[in-house]
Amino acid sequence: MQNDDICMDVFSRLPIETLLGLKRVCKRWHGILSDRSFVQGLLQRPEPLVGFFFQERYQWAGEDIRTISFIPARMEDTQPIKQTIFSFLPEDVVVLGSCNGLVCCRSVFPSPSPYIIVCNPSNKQWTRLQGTRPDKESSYGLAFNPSQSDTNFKVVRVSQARTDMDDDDSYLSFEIYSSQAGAGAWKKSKEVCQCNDNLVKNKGVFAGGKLQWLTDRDRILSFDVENELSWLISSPFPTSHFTAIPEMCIGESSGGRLHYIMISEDGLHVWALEDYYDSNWSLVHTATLEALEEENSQLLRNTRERVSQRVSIDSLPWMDPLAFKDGLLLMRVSTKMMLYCIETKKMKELCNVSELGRNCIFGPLVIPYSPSLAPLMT
Amino acid sequence: MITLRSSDGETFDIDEAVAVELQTIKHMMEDGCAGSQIPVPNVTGKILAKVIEYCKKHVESGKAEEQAASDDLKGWDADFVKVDQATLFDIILAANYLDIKALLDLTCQTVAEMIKGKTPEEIRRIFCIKNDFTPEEEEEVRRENQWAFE
Repeated sequence: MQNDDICMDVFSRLPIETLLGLKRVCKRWHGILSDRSFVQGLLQRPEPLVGFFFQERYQWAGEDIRTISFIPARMEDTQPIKQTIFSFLPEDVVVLGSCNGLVCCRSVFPSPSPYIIVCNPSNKQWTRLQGTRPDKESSYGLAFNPSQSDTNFKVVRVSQARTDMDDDDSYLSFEIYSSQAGAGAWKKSKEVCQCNDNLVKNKGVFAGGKLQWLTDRDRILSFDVENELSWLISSPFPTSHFTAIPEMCIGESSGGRLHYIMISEDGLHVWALEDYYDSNWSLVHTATLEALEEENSQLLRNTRERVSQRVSIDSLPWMDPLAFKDGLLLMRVSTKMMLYCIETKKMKELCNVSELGRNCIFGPLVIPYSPSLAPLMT
Repeated sequence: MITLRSSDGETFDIDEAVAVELQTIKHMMEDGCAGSQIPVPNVTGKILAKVIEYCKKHVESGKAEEQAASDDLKGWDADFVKVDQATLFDIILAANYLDIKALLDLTCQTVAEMIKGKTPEEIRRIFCIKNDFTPEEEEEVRRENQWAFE
């Protein structure tokens, strides 16, 4: 193993957690694995999903809940929930979004001087963004595309504003922080979007160069980060069609394609976005509730009856798709967190919701995480 | 027919179709530098024989198109790399020097599989690597690079 290039070739075939462990074999390997161009080369390869960050939110109170759980996403075995992933940060945070190994978060409220922090839990590096105070109402998204630029990321802040006192006439405005531009670099974008919707689940899904948020009116707000253009994509299927109220989520899969997942009395459906401007979706996966139950009889019972019972928006869904990435769906079924693989139609029980806290059924923050060794200048 | 000559003087006659799998040799032939015998100074006869065996097999199998043939080839590849470590590393160096992408891919992947799931102590033993960290240094490296998600 004398040749460094050959070492790098071998190392580039190993998962990140193995590479971190190899650093202590000897000083030479430590040097190769820390080499900047090697780390940059690694950023070009797609990393598998390792799990989901899960953070509860109070339904009514203004306070933030500090605990962030990490739910490993493994079909082949079960690993315990971890709650110390972010202990390397200087303060408690609320997770806002994640992209290609980086995580964007903000200080928990109340705070004397709140910050937005972008960090990487895999190498424990972090940086505070200067120049703006985060607030609870705005939505944030993190855009990081290592194939375009291996260290520069952007954070987009979406705020709602009213044109006048009429609540129906509000619009969304965008501010962009670019790590490249340096300190104090929040820039107000000229782009606005006429939209009264509230941004709910799945904050800031980065797919195809665009940040996406699911709204509460069957639409997806999309923001092209490079070109600063917003667009409202219609969801693939009208929810008014159903008797019982369905539940949806969005996520990225198949190399940058936006996917839309719906669980209704008709079953579990997954669409992939084909044409961005025409809101053209193709159905890529479908399974009736009966089929899901047959395939996973140990885990599901009376599914159709229970899903059909939800006729009021105030009642909690029995089956709630929370986050989706690379063909894996995290969903809550009653009091259990399940991982569903759309390719095999197999479901796996990951944990009980009680392990995640007492407030985890209403609107938690759920963010998929794929690791990377992307460096952050502190 | 092309004749290759190893570092220890052994000669190997191979078809042109096989010779072009070795990109380094292919370029030499295209540039007109290839005389009656092409020297391969970095590779011994023992290793050159293995490399040629690999290329011959892959050229032959390239002609068959069925899935069954492709699965057979994978099995053949798996057996091909069942050699002692020193030989495996020599084959990697030869594949690198002779620019045979598929063979380099196969052998590097094999070494990667050898590393996966092993502790640093096991890896040092397998690859005969001396630990040049002090216990304190090693502990610091371990702590800094602790995988957060396990």
